[in-house]
Amino acid sequence: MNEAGDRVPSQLRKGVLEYCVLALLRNEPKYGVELVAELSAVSVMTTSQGTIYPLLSRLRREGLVATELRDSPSGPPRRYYTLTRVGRASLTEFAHAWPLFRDAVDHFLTDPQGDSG
Amino acid sequence: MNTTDQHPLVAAYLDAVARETAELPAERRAELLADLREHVEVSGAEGDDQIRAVLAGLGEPRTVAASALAEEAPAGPAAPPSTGRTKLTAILLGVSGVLLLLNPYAGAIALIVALVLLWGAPQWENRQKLIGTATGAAVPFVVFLGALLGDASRIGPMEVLLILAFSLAVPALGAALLLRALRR
Repeated sequence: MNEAGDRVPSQLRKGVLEYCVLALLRNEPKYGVELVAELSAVSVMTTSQGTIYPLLSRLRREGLVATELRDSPSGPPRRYYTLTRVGRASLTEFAHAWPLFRDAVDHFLTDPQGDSG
Repeated sequence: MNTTDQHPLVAAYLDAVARETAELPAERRAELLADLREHVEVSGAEGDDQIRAVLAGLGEPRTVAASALAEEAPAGPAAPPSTGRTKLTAILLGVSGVLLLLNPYAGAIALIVALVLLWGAPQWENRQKLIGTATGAAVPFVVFLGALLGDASRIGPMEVLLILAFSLAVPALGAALLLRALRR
């Protein structure tokens, strides 16, 4: 995808990608390759998988996720990411705010005249 | 460490990311490179074609680097919590000039601590750090210059007042600029 064509999805991703990552960790810890594979399965979510690592690093510094190195049955040890209590609270907050936000955007997109229409 | 780590394609990719992230703090940069290296290793790619595919999936080194630099910049929603530290930095810098005149040792310590805190703080950009450093260093520089010329010129009460005003105003101005930069 060229730079201009990617602008809208890239702008949208900025605000929500971290919550998608937190949501993926909701039920179980996951390692990096697993996380990016699941994000990339939905094409709008990442175009360059490598960009997820700086994001994970920030989430760890902000205390939303914790990391832990675990041995793997095959291959080298893997760094697992776990949702912390703070991360779970942040995800809950987002899950409440998102439907309102989505509905508001839909409202403007489908009814440009606003309430008077 | 396995053979993937030494693969020339992987090494070239990591070198490219390293070049593009020269502005990142060393620790952050090392972490990013370790994460990317681990990604390639864990993905279990073997042979040039598979490794090429994994690296292509990671994206252009420039794109990955840009994302790392963006995460490092002071984020909008999560404001840096250490306002106490930044205030201390500005106050120390602000009083260092006058302190230097009253007690050179105390002044020097205040200035050094302020500069260490200043350059260690992620909230300020390098340009602001340079301005802070310049205003803090201006007083010892002028005092040093004064000491050099001291024998030749007679220092009267007017000059003492001027030096005092300079020592008070210049570092205070630097401190005010630093604090104002954070409020934006």
